[in-house]
Amino acid sequence: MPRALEVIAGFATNPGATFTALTASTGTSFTVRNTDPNKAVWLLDAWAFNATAGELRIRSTKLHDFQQGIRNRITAALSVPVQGGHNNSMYAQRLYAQDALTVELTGGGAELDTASLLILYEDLQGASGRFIDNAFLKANGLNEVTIEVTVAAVATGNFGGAVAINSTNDNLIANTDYAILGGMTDTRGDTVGITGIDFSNLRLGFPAEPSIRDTTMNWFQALTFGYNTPLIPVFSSANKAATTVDVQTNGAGGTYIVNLLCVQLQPGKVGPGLTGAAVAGSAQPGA
Amino acid sequence: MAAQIERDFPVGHPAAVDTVIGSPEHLAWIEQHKFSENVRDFPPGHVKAVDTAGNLNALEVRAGVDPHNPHLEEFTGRTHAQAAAVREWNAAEAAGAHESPVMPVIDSAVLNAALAAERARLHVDALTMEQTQAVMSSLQHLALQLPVAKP
Repeated sequence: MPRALEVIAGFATNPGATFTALTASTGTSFTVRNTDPNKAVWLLDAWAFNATAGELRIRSTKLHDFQQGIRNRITAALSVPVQGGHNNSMYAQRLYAQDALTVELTGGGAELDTASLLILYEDLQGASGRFIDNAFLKANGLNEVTIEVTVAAVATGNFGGAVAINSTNDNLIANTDYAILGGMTDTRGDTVGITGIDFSNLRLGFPAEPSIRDTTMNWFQALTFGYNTPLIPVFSSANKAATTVDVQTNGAGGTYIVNLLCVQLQPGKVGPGLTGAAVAGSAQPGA
Repeated sequence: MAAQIERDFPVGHPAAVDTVIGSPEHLAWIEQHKFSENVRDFPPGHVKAVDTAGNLNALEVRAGVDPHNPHLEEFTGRTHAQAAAVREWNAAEAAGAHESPVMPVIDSAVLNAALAAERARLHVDALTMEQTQAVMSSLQHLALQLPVAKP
């Protein structure tokens, strides 16, 4: 089961009070990737970063309705999840292959406003990641280690400033698997992205929100709890030079010190494509 | 050592053994506890009581603004001079920053196998970014393209 997790992001320039369709950040698209129609695709989470309060609207003819769909108020300067229900129990929205999602924002009249969606592909042919669940983590975890990087974001609404995870401290043990539980940032933005070979170069991500560090520090572990399915990404330190962290934010840019909370795993335990139980066609991921 | 007298109820409390109903102590106690019967908002002298001089009840509390320091920039809490300096710094940083490269989406199992072979060939624990990119380039034909909406 080649499972894949991807965060997609976009920005609206000077949306004001008018719902403005987001321009997808470079390398991402609001069209769902093509998959076997029998394999589920899920919208796990969504968040936005507005300097001025606004609304985030996600709609499609294939979802509930094409008028308002999933519409949530975005408070100013607070990048917190508004969909899915992070922590505890969560509910994922089913998505459909090649469906072009209409993602729109309202916000300020003289600013760049940004939003991100976290999407899970249960079976994405041609891409796969390595994901474990909490039981596996507890059974095979050895030591906690924090990866700290400094990212200088661009002010264009795209992901920028990608640095390798060993760019600040090169302290990972050679040829060792590490689970990423989540991370923290010291500066507000839209999304912290993590891209790597072990995720098929798809970008994982969490909100760049320093005031909810208790939520983002174990973001992927909490997703795993909430959806009852393996969503804790694992990477090999052999790929450290090609595993990068970057940030997407608004027109203000910013310098971000990002901590990733990782756990060293026992060697040779996480095979390629390990993703846990098959869930295709189920009512919810993990059901 | 003098014996410590332990009171049953506060002075003036109607249930206290030494309270004389209607005495000044009793009337003062009643005045202090009118709020509990919704006769007034808070006890006399409480910082939130409407008749306390200098109360802050009318202070506007807005999102992101420290009501006691409204001169600071909203959400950041910085002075305007600090905020301007940070904006200037961020703009300079952003001008020098690069957008992240778009990496080819290749199945991690395939890519890891190719990278493991390259590491074995070079007898190294980890490849540099350039060596990794060379391997990825050789597998570019396997990369997934950005999705296209179904017509």
